[in-house]
Amino acid sequence: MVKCQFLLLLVAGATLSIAQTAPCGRNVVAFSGSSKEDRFLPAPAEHVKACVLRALPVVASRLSKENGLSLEAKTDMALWRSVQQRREDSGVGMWGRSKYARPAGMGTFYVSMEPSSEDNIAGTRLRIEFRISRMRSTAAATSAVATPLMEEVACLTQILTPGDPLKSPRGPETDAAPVEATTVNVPEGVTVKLLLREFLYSREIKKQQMPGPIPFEVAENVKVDGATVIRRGALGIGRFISTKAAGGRGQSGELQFVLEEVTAVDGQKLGLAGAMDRSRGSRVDLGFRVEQYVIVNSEQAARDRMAKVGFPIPGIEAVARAGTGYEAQIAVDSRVQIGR
Amino acid sequence: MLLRVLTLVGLILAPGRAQQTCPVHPITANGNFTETRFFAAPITRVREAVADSMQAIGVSLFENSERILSGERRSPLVRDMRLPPGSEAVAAYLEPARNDGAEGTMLRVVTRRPGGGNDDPKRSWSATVIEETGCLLGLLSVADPMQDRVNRAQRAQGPPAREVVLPTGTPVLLRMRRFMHVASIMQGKRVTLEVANDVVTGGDIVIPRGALALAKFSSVQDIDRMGQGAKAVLEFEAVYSVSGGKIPVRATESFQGGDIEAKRMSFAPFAYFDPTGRQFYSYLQGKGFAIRAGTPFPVATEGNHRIPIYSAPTP
Repeated sequence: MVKCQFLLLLVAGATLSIAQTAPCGRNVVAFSGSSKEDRFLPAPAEHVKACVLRALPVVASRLSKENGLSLEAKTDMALWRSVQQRREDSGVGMWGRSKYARPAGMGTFYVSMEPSSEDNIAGTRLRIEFRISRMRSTAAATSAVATPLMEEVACLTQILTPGDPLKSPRGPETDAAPVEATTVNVPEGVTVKLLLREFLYSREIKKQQMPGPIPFEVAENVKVDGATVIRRGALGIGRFISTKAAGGRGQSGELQFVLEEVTAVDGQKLGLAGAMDRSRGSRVDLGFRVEQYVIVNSEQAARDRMAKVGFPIPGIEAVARAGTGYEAQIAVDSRVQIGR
Repeated sequence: MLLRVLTLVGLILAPGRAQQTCPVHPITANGNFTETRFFAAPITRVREAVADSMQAIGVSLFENSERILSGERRSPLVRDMRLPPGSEAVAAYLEPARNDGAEGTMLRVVTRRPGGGNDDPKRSWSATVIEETGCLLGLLSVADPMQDRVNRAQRAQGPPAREVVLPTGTPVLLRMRRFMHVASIMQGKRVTLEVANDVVTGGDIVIPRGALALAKFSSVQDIDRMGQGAKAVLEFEAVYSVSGGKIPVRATESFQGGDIEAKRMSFAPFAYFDPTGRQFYSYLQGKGFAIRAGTPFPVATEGNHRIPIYSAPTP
């Protein structure tokens, strides 16, 4: 065990000072709490369902069955390795004393939603149960994975808007009193906060094919001289610069993208500058780790499921969590028409 | 040309270059396990400074939400910045507060054992975080330089009172606005800095303290196989004047983590006989690097620029 910790130490990096903000500030998900959760969320059922689907990869699971508002999701091995590697790169999972140290177990999520109300607030009752498969999970793994999934869903329902920005790029209309039609100068450098709408996964981006635009939504209203020029929920568009699926000999997957434009209240597209991100499955490709296992202690290597001497091992896929926040700046001075 | 060379040589030899950042430390554990202090700054800025301080003492931030920041001291940062050991958990709690009539933020920092429990941790980092936070809040401006530039540009409308020529090669000292670790950077990534001191020409402040400066990583290489250290080059692009105008600057800065030393490598075969494997790993560890908030970088302006001035001369 001690040796294993040193092995991890060797390749551990960090997702430390991130310029982007993890959903609700949770950079590293702690797999602690309970295997069953039952909570009321003040959001429509369809929105909660969409957020559950976005949040499942955070706990290394993919949808396997869908029946209206009931879902079933199973642990995906490649995702589990990505999640675990990200934790290790942040320094988690080496010493075993921290509450962040225990890895998630493998098993099945049973999720059900029903429209409900509490204190006269309409919303959705969300029930999550996780049944661990001890055959597939390591001894250290925990079944307390329902709580982190519930917290991620609760977070996403708060920060993401229910509407689809691709259908209404200007963002949802507000109840605020209409203002007189006028033109506002939006100077270069005005900051726009955007949120990634969907989970990104290097394995799903096919090779030899130009990936489509990446949808973002504006996290909060952008005001200039007191006037809202970009609404919360408006569409932002990003573009992949490079994508690479994980290789069969330990090479990590990679996703690199840049934020390009955002839609103002009058529907015009404003160019963005300054925000780009790169996500790698692992800071150091796994080939190195295998060499270490093999050289130092082949018996230990044989026990480890990832270190099969002589066999190719898949690298770690890159992921980006839905709800991740980015800051970009308006690239050039612009004039935006507000009011009606 | 000679002037440019002399300016650059002067910048390289300037005493500020050797200075790391906040002069409070070497980073060491000290103080009580729980420390509290009031800062007369808005909660958003205090939160940024606390996040930077915690990372500067080697804490990997696992949570960075509106009122709570928490994490544990972990090897990537502790090793890359050659900090003292210790894997304690550190949490910071922020609350808006008022002290002697001044609006501000109450900061409480707690050091715990990483696994929880009632026992005291081996070391306390609470006072160190608070001291570093206080230092950063004094060293860097409270206002966001990006927003400050936009405000200046908006105010600078109409004909100026006068124009001042800023000569080429004028030295400007910049400071890193936020903490940055090599794991979070990539080629082409923009970095926000701010001007450390007012730049005055003929009695007029042409580049104010706290003004925005931008730089970009032109090449980045993270740690790699066989313990190869991380490397990166930061190219400084521009500073922004008192009226929000762009002034190109000239300077680059290289960063490098530690590679495996050749002599250590030659001893590595002996590590095969090391029963714990500890020695072996220490031979092969390449290091990354981190840039602390407040780190100074001297640069020089490029080209003569006419800066419009809208206010009265500084007395």
